[in-house]
Amino acid sequence: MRMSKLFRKTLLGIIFLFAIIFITISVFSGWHIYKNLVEEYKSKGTAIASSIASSSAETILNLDSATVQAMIDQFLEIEGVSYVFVVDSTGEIVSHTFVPTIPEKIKEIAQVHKTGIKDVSIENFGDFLDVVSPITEGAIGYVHVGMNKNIINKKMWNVLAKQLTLLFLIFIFSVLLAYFMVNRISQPLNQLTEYAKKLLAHDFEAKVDIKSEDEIGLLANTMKSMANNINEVFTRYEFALKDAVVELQDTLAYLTTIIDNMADGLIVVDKDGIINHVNLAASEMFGKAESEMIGKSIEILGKELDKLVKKSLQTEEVVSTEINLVNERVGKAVAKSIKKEYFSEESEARGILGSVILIRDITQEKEIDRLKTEFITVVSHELRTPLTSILGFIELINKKFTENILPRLDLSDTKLAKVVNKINKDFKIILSEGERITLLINDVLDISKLESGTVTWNLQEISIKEVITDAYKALSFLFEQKGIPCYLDIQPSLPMVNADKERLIQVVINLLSNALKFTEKGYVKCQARLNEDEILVSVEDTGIGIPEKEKEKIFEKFKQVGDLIKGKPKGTGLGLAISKQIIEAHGGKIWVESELGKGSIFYFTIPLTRKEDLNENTDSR
Amino acid sequence: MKILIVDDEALIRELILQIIDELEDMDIQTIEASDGLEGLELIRKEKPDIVLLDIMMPKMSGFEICRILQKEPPSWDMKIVILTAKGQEIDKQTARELGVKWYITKPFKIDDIIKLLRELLEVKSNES
Amino acid sequence: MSGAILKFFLVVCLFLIPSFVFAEKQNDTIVLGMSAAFTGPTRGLGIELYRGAMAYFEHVNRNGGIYGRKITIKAYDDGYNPIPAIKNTIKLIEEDKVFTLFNYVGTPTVARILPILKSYSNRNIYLFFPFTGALPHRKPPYDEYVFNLRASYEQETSGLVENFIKIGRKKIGIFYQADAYGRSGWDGVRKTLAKYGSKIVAEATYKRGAKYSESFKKQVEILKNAGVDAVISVGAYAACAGFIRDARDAGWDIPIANVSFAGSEFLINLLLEEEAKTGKKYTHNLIHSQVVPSYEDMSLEAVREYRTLMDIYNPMPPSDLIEADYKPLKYSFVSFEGFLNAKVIVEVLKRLGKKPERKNIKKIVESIKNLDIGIDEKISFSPYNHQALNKVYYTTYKNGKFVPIKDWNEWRK
Repeated sequence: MRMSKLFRKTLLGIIFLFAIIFITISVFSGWHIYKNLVEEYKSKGTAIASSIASSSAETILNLDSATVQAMIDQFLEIEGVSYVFVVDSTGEIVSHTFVPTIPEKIKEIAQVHKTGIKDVSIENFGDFLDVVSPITEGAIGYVHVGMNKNIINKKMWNVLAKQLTLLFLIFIFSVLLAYFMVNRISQPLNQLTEYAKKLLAHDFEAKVDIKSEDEIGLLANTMKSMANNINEVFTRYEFALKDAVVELQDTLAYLTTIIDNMADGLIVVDKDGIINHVNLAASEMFGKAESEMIGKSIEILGKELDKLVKKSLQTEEVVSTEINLVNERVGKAVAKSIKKEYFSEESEARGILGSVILIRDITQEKEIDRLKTEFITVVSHELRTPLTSILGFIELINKKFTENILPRLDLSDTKLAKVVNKINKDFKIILSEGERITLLINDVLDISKLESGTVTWNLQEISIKEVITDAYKALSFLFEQKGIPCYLDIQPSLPMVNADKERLIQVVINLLSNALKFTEKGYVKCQARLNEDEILVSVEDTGIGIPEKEKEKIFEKFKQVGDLIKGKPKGTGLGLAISKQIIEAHGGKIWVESELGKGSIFYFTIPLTRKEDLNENTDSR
Repeated sequence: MKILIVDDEALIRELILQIIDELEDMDIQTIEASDGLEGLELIRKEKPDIVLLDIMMPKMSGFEICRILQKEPPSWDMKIVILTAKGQEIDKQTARELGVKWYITKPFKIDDIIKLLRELLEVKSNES
Repeated sequence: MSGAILKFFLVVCLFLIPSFVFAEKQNDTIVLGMSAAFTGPTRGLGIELYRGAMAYFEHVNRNGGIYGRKITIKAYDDGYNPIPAIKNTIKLIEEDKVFTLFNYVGTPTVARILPILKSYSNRNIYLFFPFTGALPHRKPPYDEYVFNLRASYEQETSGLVENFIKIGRKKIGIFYQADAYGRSGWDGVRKTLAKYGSKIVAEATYKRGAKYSESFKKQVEILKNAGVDAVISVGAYAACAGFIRDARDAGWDIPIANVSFAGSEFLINLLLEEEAKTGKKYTHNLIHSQVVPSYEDMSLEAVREYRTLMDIYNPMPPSDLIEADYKPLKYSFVSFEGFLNAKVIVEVLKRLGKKPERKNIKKIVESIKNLDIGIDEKISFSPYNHQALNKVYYTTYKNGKFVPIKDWNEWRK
């Protein structure tokens, strides 16, 4: 059986622990034992020495060294006592226990009469504690007792060896114990690991057989119930996933069906303009099979579409254009970029993933539009033609009457003169009313075109100043005629705007002529200012003013302040409606501020920069 | 001097004729065409000095005639004046593109016609 | 602790005295307690001393004993070691209730039982004729409890020193057992030399219990290097023989003198064995001091009696006491000493009368004057003298025999 890592660690721990205990015990108890033994030997030696000393006085005095010898002999039997010798007062050794003879060193020591303990080291004999005790205060002699230091060491080592042996046995026992304990822990742990591996491999049927009631058992049970739970959850999720997948598939199929069955064509491109998705309608619209389109660049579907997609990929706005489809059909393509929710500011595409293009077959609408325009054109043409004849002939009649008949009439005849006056007056009424019909036709034509969006804008970089001055020039005669001054106040060096000049002139003329129309005295003032990113144009008059509740209504068709107040309409009543259409088409605003009886100020704005091309933009609105 | 009136409306042609009558002092010969095709044929055949041309006509529109004439410019000096009910800027622009300098919308004031014709005729006679 | 035990015994004994006296009356044997070496390197001394004594006791017992009482020896082995000797002594006194102690062997053993005797003084326990010439039991405070027959080592060594000095061997070395016995001999030599204003030139010791097989080369070297003229050996026979062997092996032929305790026959036997083994000579230039006359001196009545009785009885200690391999000597100085010891104790017992009581022992022994036991010296004791014999006999081994030294000039330097 391989050694488990846990056991190896435990073993290391035990070894480390025991090593420390070994060393500590060795050092400590070695030192302790040594010290104790030395102390013991010292006191033992001292006791022996003094005992001999106290009892040997008489015998030494009797010169009986054999008795002394008998006495000291018995002490030699005491453990640790290596030698005993007695020196008499002359320094002669009278009794000793040395074998084979008295070492020289001892002979030297014997001459030193000094009580106490000292260390003696004798070659080939050993190390001793030489304990000296005086006999009758040294008057008779001294007793020397040699305590064997080597025995101390030997004993110390002996005790240490025993201790260490015991420790070693404990160590072995501990290791065995640890081995079994660790095995008891690690084996189930290994089982658990195997179990966990199986679980990892989604084998939830795996079994683990651990029945202990300790933490491991708890862990095993927890893992088991965890596995069960996971299994349950897995199963549940599997079902849920199946359901979800089915649902998703259904939804997808549903969506696909919707997309495929959409009357409109749908094309999805990625950020590089590569076609990702095409629905059936789109496929039909371009007369290409889906497979011919997917993966290809949008370019293959025409320049306009390519341009549209490129534009769409650079903006988040909805952009649109008209494109040609197969079979001479026309489609309106609307593109909107698809954007990621979050993207880093540095990213080039600004999170734009691609674009969705919806294409509607507008051939029919176009046709209707065309028919409508044609109808209006025809109607206006058909109206104008007789009107031309009527007005032309009336004018001719008038001309001829004035030039040919009138001179031949005797105008002295007051009755005749009256008739001639009446005829002249009637001619003028006919001509004036004819002119009104003409204007009306023109305005109706205009408004219908503006509203249907079939107007083609002639966009150029133009100067507002020119617009205003041109408009004024066209009307200056009327102002002079009516005797109302018109002040032009145009901020110098106004920036150019991209707009349809003729149309803007039409608006300004409209406003100026309105102002003139309702102003009997005072003045008319036209101002142009740069206001942030737009140009603000105002036309102020000192006329009758507009009641508050009428302010909005006047921009509606066929509404005139004049109608309401004086019952004296002049003009078609379409001027402000047309102006509103034009200004709004340019991205501007038109409104009025007025005080009844004091005058009105009409404002309109033209933005300096327009976000979208006017022509196309208006199409999508 | 030869003026060709191309208009499908007989009454309009009659009106124009009467207007031209007003220019008694001028030696004017008028020719009429009631549709575009006839107008084109007469232009080629009669080589008029001035063509008063309607746009919306059967068989061939005035613009088409202009377009053809632009491709095959007449060998003589011929001035085209469009007289039309189409008053849209776009129509005027189309006319300009086709090299037509004079454009009068219907209904017109007869003085305008007279004035224009006189101008054109005087220029013409001065040239010759 | 041991003191406490002793006191306890004493108290017990006091209570036991009446019964003890009663038992004594009833007993028809007189038991003598003996502790000696029956095993070990000095076993020959114990065994032969026992044999010599028993030879005489057998004779007495066979001839009606002492007033009908037989004499026996209760012997224990102490292996020549003090501690067993002490134990044996107490056992003999307390358990075996011996009448008196007799024939102890060895100085270290005897020196250690002396305090016991003193402590038992109220019960009159005496030690008779220990086989030792040491001074402790010949001097106060213990001399009153011990009766000696033989001369002291001091007397033996003193004679040896004087004789060596006479023949010009003044540089005397001593080889001795490192204990009270050796110290006794050493002390004798030292004191004698002091008289001549001289000192021991060199000394070498050995540990009691040393065997013949051990090496004594160191001791030989110490003494030889000191330039010793003569060696006085105070030891047991195994060690002394070993020393002689190593000295001779070292080519050192100086005279070596051994004291009585050496047990001359045993020593010579060991050397003879060595001679047989190696072919060298070891038994020459040896001097043996004896404290009894030579058993070869047939002119002495005691010798004749000794030989006869030894021949007849040839007694042996109880077999459980001795080792099987021991070969008893036919005659020896040791057994002869034992025989003489027995003769004297028998005389003492006789004088104690029909009802021997210990309290009378001292008085009776001290009253012995000029008692002839069949040797060339009369036995006398007194309160001041507990040693009967003082004569020392010097012998040497020649021609397979121990012969008295007539002329020391043989070893003159």
